[in-house]
Amino acid sequence: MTLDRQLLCHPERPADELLRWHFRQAVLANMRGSGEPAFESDFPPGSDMVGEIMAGPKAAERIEFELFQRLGPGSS
Amino acid sequence: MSSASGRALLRDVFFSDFRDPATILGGLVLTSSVTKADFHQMIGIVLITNGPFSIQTENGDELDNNLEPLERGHYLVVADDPVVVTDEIYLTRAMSITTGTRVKSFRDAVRARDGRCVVTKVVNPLAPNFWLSFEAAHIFPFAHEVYWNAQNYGRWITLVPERGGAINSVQNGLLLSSNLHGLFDNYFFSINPDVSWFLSLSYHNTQLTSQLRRDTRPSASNRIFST
Repeated sequence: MTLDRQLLCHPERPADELLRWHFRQAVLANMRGSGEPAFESDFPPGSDMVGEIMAGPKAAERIEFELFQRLGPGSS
Repeated sequence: MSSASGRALLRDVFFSDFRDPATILGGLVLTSSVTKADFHQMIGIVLITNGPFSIQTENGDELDNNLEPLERGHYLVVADDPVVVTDEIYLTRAMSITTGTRVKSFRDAVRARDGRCVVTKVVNPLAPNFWLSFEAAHIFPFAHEVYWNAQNYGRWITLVPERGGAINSVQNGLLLSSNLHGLFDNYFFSINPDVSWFLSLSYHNTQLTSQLRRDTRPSASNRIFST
């Protein structure tokens, strides 16, 4: 299957290097060792998002990810 | 840590160094579109070998490197020296919630460029007024901008936006149907720009796969790989 042909011909098309980076990460996530955790992200209002994350895999990395994407990683 | 091994629980393909078959170095969830050639390529990403390697099937044959579908099983990687699992960095990633002023221009640019889900090709009939069920996904995650800067990945960007920095360039984005965004961010599918067809690993989605197959053209363009 191909990606959208309309997109592939577009002058603003995604950078191949970035797609390659995503692909390598996907291979590592799925195939290396026991694989990387996948994260659910459905936290309805009133649910204990932090509690669920802390009880889950790679809690520190996940919290850092959630903070950085909300606060902006480049502020330091 | 139940979900830490969630991907591994579903696996039906495994691989080891042929010198040490009892130690499983990794595996994958086989779906119908994984070819033997895909498997060779992906083994080459996960394992470091001294020189070329071959792959041995359970009955001792050498696995072909062609476009036939891969079969379930336990494969042994054969190389001159013991194989090493790569320590290439993996950046922990969850689904991105794109908020904030730095991301707004990114979202608007991706919407304007694509106008539809680039995987399913479903057009947004409400454009440009409403974008419900369509989401602009970062290819490289915005949350890891520190790593992006350290690696100078901005060198891959030729269209730097006025706001948000290179990581928020339209060239780091794809418009996806909402149901695919979380799967993309968690690497349940990906796009290999060097090969031209669909590859599905742990994400069994028959409808999507068959739709994507109908779109397949054997050109040297892009392919989507679903894990």
